[in-house]
Amino acid sequence: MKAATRGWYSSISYHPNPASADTDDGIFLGVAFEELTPKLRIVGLVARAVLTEDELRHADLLGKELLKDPVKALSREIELVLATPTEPGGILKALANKLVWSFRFGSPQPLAAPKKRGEFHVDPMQLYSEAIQRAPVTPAGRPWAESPRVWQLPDASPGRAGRVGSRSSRRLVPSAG
Amino acid sequence: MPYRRFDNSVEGVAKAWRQQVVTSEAWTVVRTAGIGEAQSLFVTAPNHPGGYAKPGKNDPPIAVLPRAAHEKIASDLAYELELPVPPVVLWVRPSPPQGQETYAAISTVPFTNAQMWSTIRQAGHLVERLTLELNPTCSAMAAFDTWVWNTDRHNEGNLLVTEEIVGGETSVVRAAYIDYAYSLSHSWPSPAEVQRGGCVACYPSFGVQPDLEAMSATVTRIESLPDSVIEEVVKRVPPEFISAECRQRTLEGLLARRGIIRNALRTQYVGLP
Repeated sequence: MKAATRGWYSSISYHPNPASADTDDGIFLGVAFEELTPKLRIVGLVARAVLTEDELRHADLLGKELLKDPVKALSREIELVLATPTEPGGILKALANKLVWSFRFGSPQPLAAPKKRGEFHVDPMQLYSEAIQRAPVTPAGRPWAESPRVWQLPDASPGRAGRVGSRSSRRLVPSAG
Repeated sequence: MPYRRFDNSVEGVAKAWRQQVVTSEAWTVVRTAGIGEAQSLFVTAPNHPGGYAKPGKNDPPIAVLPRAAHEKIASDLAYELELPVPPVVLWVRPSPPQGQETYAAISTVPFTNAQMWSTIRQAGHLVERLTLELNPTCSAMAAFDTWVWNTDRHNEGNLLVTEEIVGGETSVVRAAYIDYAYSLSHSWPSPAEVQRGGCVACYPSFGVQPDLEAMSATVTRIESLPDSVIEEVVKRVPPEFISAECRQRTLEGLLARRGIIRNALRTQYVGLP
């Protein structure tokens, strides 16, 4: 029997005040996903290129430095988790467990079922578009609706990356399960 | 140099919680922080900015690993030594769901913009800039971690840092060392283990010479801490949070190890006064 494709995504946010009880007070940064095809484990990230001055107003000096390039900061977190063994489908879970302070990965949510069993079908840009619709609107509106940042890992597959355009990145690693 | 640089509001909480063992405030679970095994709970109470309650789950049981008690004891001792461990208070969680722990510890959020060290470490240029700033603090904390034998420093999320402008121009780096669940009685399963040699290394290790003066000064403060203070901190933890056996091992370990930590640190840090 052909193995099924499975996938999850997490919204990513930055919280200047981790002590706030308001779960919607974070700054939306982007969305990450993990998908398992029969042969590949695919990890992707689509994130904002830049934050507004107003959003950065409450960030500390280290936060401002890290948020100069959210894709760079977030991709490093993903790379760090990828460097340690995780169960298939467990990368976003590991990130959600680890990052609970100012940078946060939300609890992984299942992606919609693939149209065909075993076929990779996630459109990261669509995922990003859907995520920004769910993100709380700030007084400044939705500044994150601007085009997200280009980020390309050296080992990303050009063919697959081409399918979703150049504004997202993904890493392909052999699937263990 | 002060290693503990929490702001006045956090120090106010610390002073109050040093006098308090179990909180009587009505805490509310707002959300879970993390999922699965690592789950903790973000909680708030009237007149308090909020904190993380741990453990979320009741496995392993308290009789095996008194995690909340360890957190409270370590925090109270750090307060006495003016070291940067956030204030902790014990909490009897009312009617937790099945599988969740009743006897927990709440650790206050030590500062806004809490950046995990693992995040900072990935950004090389920040590491270089913070190295000299944090070196005295991490050297002092090596003495404390060796005393309570906290071996959980491999988790790079257990150090939080922030850097902010204070007074218009000067930047201040604040650090908070968290997570002492797997220390104290967990590290000393038998009386022989209390005399364990070796040390817990500086964390993070910057590849530079540690501040041996800061380390030595902290060892001196630990050596000088009166028996009565250690006994008060350990003995006042209610039995629901720690078994008699674990309490005894914790107390004996803390008392006995004061006399060996300097030489234990010297095995790695040659030249420690």
